Parts: sequence; C-alpha cells; structure tokens
Amino acid sequence: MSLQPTRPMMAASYGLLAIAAVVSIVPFLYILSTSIKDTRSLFSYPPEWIPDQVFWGNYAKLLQETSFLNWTANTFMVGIMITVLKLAIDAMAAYALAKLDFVGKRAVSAVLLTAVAIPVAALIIPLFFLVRDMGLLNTYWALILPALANPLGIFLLRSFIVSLPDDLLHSARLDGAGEFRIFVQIILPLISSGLVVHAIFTFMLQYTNFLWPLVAIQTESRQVLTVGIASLKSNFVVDWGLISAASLLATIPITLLFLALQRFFMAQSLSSALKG
Amino acid sequence: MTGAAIEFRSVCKAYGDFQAVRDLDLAIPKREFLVLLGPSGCGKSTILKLLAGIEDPTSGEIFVNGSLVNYLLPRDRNVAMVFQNYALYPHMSVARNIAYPLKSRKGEARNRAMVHEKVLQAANLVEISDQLEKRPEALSGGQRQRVALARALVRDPEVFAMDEPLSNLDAQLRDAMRQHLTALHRRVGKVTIYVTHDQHEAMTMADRIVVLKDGVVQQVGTPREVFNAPTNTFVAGFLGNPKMNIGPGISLGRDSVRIGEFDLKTNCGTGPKGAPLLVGLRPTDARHEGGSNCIQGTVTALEYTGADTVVTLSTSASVDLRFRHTNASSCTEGKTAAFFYAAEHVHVFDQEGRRM
Repeated sequence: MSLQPTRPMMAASYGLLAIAAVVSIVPFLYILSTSIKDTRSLFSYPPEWIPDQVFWGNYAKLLQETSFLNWTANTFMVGIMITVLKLAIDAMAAYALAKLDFVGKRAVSAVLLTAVAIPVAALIIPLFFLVRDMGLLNTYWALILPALANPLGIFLLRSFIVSLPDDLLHSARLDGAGEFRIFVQIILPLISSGLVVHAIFTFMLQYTNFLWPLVAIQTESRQVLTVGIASLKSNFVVDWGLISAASLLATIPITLLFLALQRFFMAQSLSSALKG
Repeated sequence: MTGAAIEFRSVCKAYGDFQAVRDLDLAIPKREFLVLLGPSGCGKSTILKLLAGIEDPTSGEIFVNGSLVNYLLPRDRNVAMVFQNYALYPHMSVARNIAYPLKSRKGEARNRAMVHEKVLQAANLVEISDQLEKRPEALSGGQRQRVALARALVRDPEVFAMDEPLSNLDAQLRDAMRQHLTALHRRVGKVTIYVTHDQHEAMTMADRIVVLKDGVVQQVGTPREVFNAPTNTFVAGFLGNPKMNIGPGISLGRDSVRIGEFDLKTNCGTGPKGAPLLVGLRPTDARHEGGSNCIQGTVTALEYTGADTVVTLSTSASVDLRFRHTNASSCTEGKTAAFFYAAEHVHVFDQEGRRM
C-alpha cells in the first residue's frame, strides 16, 4: 500500500481539519463577541457577531467589582507551588525507582500504580475529611498538598530516567559524585525535556481543576479562577457578558504559556515517539 | 603483604543462581597491563565492576595497594574506569567532562586555574585539546574514546579499568588506538586492567593475559605462555586464528601420540600407552616440509585470505583438519597434501581437556 497521499485524500483531510478548527474556534469567538456586548444587544434577535457599539463594561466590572484579579493570583500561586514541589518530588522518586536498589522497591511501585487507578471523584469525600481534620480547610495548602500525591508524573519521569545508560551513573560515582550530586548534575539536565512536559501537564491540570477547589475553599477571595468564574452566576441572574469576559481573560495566560513552550513540547512528544 | 598493587582473594560474585565470578585469586603487580580475555558472559566485566565498587562481591576480599577496599565507596577506591560506550556526560562540553572527576571530589582541586591546567594536560596526553569546547555528540567515536580516557587520566588514579574500550570503533581506528593505549600505559605507568573478547587486542597489548570462561580463570600468563602452552582445550581453541585443530587420539607411550593413522612426536606428556587423549595442532604451526611428524590427506577446501591460504584436509583423523599454507598454489581441491609439525607444536590434552 502506498503511503503517498492522493489528492482526494488530501482534500478530505484538509476538510476534516477545517471542520475541527471551526468547532474549536467558534465558541471562543462567541465568547469574545458576548463579552463585548451590553445586556440589551446580548439578547437582540437576530444575534449579531459584532455589536454596533463595543461595550467594555463587562471587563471593567470584572476587574473592579469582582475578585477576579485575586482569583488569578491565587491560581498562579497555587499552580506554581504545585508544579515546583511536584517536579522536585516526582523526579527524586522517579530516580530512586528507576536506578536505585532498595528494600521494598516493588511494593512502593505497586502502591503508586494502584494509586493511579483510583478515580479522583472517589477520593473527594475522604480527602475532605482528612484535610478538615488537619485543619487545612480553606487554606492554600488544602489545594497544594493533595495535588502532590498524584503519582502519574513519577511514572512519566521514570521512563525518561530508565532510558539513561547505567554506565553514566557508574561513571559519575567513580568520578566521586554522591547520589544527590548525580541527581542534580547528571539526571536532571538529561531529562529536562521530560521535566518541561511534566511541568506543563501539572500546571494545566491545576489551572483547570474545578471540583476540589470548590470543596476545599470557602472564602471567596481565596478561591481559584475556575470556581470563581462559576460563582459569578448567582441564583437569579446570569450575567453572560461578565462570565464571558472572565472566561476569555482566564484563557489568555495558559494559552501564552503553551505557545511559549509549544516548540519544546511538540519536539519532545515527537522524539519520544520516534525512539519507540 | 605482597607487593601486588591489586589482589583478589577467593572473590565470588553471584546474581541469584547465576555465578558470574567463581573463586577468583589474582595478584596484579604494579605497572602491569593485564588483559581479561574471554567470550561474552565469562565474568570479565564483572571483575572490573567488583574492583571499581560498582558491584559488591558475594564473598572474598579485594585489596588495592595492600588495603582492603571491599567496603569503600567507588569514589574512594582510586580506580578510574573507561566504559565501552564511553559514558560521557552528553550535556557537558569536553572540557567539563574531563574536569568532572576533579570538581565532584570534595576537598580536591577546586581551584579553577589548577583544574583548567590538569584538564589541558590530560587532553594533551590523548591529543584532543583542540576539541575542548565541543559537546560529545559532535565528536567521532575515536574522539569520544579519547575524552573518556582523558577523564580517567585527569584523576591520576591508582588503577585504570577499561571495559572493551575499543569495541565500538572501526578496525582501522582500533589499530591506532591500541598502539596509543599501549604507549600511554608506558608513559603513565599505572596498573591497567583491560577487558576484551578480542584475542588480537589481548595478545598485542598485554603483559599478562587472564583467560576466563563461565566465571572461572582458565589460565594466567604472558601472551607467549598462553599461546604456546595453553592449559586446556578452551584456551587452546580461544586463542589463535584459525582455531586450533583438536581431535581424539591415543597415547603411544613415551613421547608419541597417534591421531588417525598418523604418529606424532610431542614435547607434552602422553600418559600410559593406549590411553585415549586429545591432540591439538595449530593451523599456523604447520610447515610445508621436513621430518616424520606428518599429516596427510585430501584437500577439501581452500580459503584464500590474502597473505596465506587456509587448507582444509580430510584425513583418517575423525575430524577435518585445517592448516595455514603460505603458498597454496601447489594445493588443489581433491588432491592430496601433507603438513609437518615440530614436536613442540603438537599439543596433547587429556580427555577432560587439560594439558598433559
């Protein structure tokens, strides 16, 4: 079978990609359009994509009358804390599991693997009691600590470290380096692409996490973006313009982050695919 | 304490049920270039790892310069190792690779100027001082090997341990590096333990060769001793190209043996008359004329190798015999040919394969 794409095949794939692009972009444009309308033009019929009069009121209200900036700051603070701590913990655990021999290694692996299989929803209630009893409810630690316990990243980084030749470590040991020095000077630089992938995943996951912050944080000013935006909808009125403005602003930082690291991210997924 | 730089005493290493090294007793004097030779899986690399401290022996003791090193960490043993795949740090420049052993040691040359000078010295010794700023990936195999050597040299270690360092290089480069390594050893004058499965490397470089099989030392000796008086059929067959002919024979008593219909005089012992034994004849020891020690047969194959020709004879001996002929134009397939052996070149082994 020839792998050379034929013209109709090309046309078909471009068609499909175009549809996919429209499907993912149109909602954004709709949100953008909604966010710059006042309440009256919002419900005008037929709906207009570009309002006659651009209305910035939603943004002004969002930044002045809600805790939006607070939520953003909280989200970043929590996200960065989690990413940094998680990378440090996961990389060390991955190194130990990949390259060191210790008693109970298989048991530890088994426990970690089991933990991956437990759905988050099943953990919410016991986790709530645990965090409450530790007196951490309604603090940032309630958001940070549980996120660190997710072992998936250990397995990701472990696969990177396993692929490093043992002789490299032997050589470093003979050269006089201790385990921590080997970890910092040899392992970490050589798995930097894995660390970036893990960091992006971790940060994005945290950025979009909704359920746990909803449960764990009660004070509005300490809330993160996801829950904060949802709370803009009161029981009686839904201010679509305001919510759209918030949603749009919230997507900007994460989009920029992805764009900045995208080249690295793609290259890595590709090269790990090629290595097989 | 003996004057040996390194000593293994009854060292064993087992991985589960697998015995990688059995009861190794070996003393290595200062300045010696010792080659561990054997087929893959014979335990030769394991011996290096035991010495370097990468692996711990299951039992036995290892001494370096008279002191027990069993419980020392690799970094405290003063053994520098060169790995088969070089094990260079890919994210560091050549200069940083070479400097790494200096920088990672506590209390040692932290002084930048001194580190730089030592790096230059080591790089000069292996002639790569013009590559210092490059990354390993930008270097050829031979250059990488030199960097690995320089990294070992820079520490000024007591012992160099080299694990098949030339096996990833092409034949020409290997030749050049072999000479380079030998010259380097003479200059540096430290004990070098060199692991290889290549008999040519072993013969040309070694002061002494240790032949290993299944974790057991078969023979220790100079290349000449090991080649001319192999202690058993394994050593006899492992060294020499083409392989030694080994076929069943019987003792004629005194100093003669019979293989097929041929009676051969030998310098080896022969045991009681009529005893079955094994007779070994190196293809390369064959002569084209002279004496009564003669093997005759029909030529069944001719392999031209350039400098000479390997002739295969079908004889009354129960195995085909091969001989090297320096001028085989007189041989034709299907015709008879004769080869002569000096008594010193007729090797005799007992039925278990031990030299008599």
